[in-house]
Amino acid sequence: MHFTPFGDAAVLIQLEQRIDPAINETILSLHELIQASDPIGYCYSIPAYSSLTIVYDPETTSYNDFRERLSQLCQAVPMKHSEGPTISIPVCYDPDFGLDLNDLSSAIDLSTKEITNLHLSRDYRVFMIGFLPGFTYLGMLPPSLECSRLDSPRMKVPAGSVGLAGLQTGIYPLESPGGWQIIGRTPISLFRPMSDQPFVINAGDKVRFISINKREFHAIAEDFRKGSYQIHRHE
Amino acid sequence: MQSQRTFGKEAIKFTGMSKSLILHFNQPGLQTLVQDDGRYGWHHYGVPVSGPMDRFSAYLANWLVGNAIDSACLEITYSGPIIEFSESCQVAWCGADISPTLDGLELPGYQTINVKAGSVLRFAKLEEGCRVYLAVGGTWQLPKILNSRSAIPYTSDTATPSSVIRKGSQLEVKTGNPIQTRTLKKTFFQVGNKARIVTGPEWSKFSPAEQTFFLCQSFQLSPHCNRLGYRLNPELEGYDSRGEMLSSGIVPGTIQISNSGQPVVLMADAQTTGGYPRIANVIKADLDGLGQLKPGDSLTFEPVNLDEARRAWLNKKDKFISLIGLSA
Repeated sequence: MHFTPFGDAAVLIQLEQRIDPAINETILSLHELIQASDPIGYCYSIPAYSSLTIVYDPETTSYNDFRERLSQLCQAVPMKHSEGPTISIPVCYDPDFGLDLNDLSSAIDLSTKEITNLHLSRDYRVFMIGFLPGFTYLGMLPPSLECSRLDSPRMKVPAGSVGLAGLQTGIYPLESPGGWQIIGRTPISLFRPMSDQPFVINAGDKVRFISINKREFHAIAEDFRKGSYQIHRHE
Repeated sequence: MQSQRTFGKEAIKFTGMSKSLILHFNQPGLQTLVQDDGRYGWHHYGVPVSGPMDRFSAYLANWLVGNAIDSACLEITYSGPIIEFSESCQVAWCGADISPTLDGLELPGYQTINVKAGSVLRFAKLEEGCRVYLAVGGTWQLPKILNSRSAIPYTSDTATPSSVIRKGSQLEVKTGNPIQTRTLKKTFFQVGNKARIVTGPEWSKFSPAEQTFFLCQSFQLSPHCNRLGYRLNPELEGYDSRGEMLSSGIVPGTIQISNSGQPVVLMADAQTTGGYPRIANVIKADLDGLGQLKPGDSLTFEPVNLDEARRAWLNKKDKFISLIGLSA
């Protein structure tokens, strides 16, 4: 395991730099192990695709001592992260929501229907959550859906937008700037700050998109607001 | 103008009861936010730390009014609000000097001020720095979201609406018994035009010429600077984009180089992950000084090693603790 200093208050573990479920499993296992062991000086950690940022308190520990504690801990890492649930996320692929569907259709030479069907054709692993509270990085897309980011990012991507970038797909939990190509929108809010459980999805879970029409979109949005919509989780 | 010594001499009457104080904001100022020490333990869900851009100034202001140092206070940026106090209370400000006055009299910083009911606090010209922290003695009656009262970036309108001050906003503070007034020399305040850095995880991916440019250049804060981050000018000369890396962790003080070669210093509200190479990190001890910079200010970087960075932080903490006489 390779440790490097990251600033004067964090340690960075970087594994091979590629999007790979096995590498990501190791990162999540390390994150859970370190979080649970809470070594002296530990503050918090940020798991990503193939890296883990571990922030420590330099008042309590030096870099070398902290790295040594991590190094010993990581020898014991169980390399299998427990299998997460599959979470069903309803998405409306209407062009009113799928802001880039038409442009994307010409760019990758597939009809909008084909894009939608391909997007729905598999379950996606949640590799990481970052960028914004609750923004999920999902992969991998079917290769024929691979696409670039927008040349100039949007100033405002509507909350719930489902986008594509490279071989990744993701869900914007909040209205924010963003450069992913938007193909649909979910009525489910993935960040509910007032709730006891503010986040619906965890890294390591799987996401299954379910196609809904506009009428269903509005009905689910309303139920969700009232708290009567049950998100389907398959353990 | 009357002597500023008027303030702090007139003791608040002891009532032995907690009172409900309302701060009425007749004007919001450019950006006035409630900030406590921020959010911890939510980073793996993409939630930024937040908290004061100049933490030690916020801590000192809270200490001066007898609050726990990590309590909520107001972070006032660049131009100040107009605040009317419904009840008598104790306040203190630390950080940038935005020429505050209370009922028309100059209001000194770095000391406990006894405020009478009905008094009005105003700010005028920004003299030094960028952000001032105004503490009010008592318990702020604001909900905690993810265990913090800090305004949450991107979604503060819906998630933490009371933490973002608007015209007509009202904040309630339950005040307790006033404390003996405290005074400090103006301290821990720094406009951080020179920031010490340690090299970042991707430092070695930059060419020697780019590294030298980064270390020798006097940068300037562009107009695109806020609590998320500071974009600096100029861009690295002849920078050839390395393309994006896989997204990886970001901590406050991380300096990324964007595809166009522009250095971006990530600040308190920064995203938790990013995909640009991380050339360096501003050391912890110098983050507060960065929080006092504004667009147009200059910024240069001075490399130090990890031991020096840690010593700088320990020194700062030691000084702070010996100053206020409690464990921070």
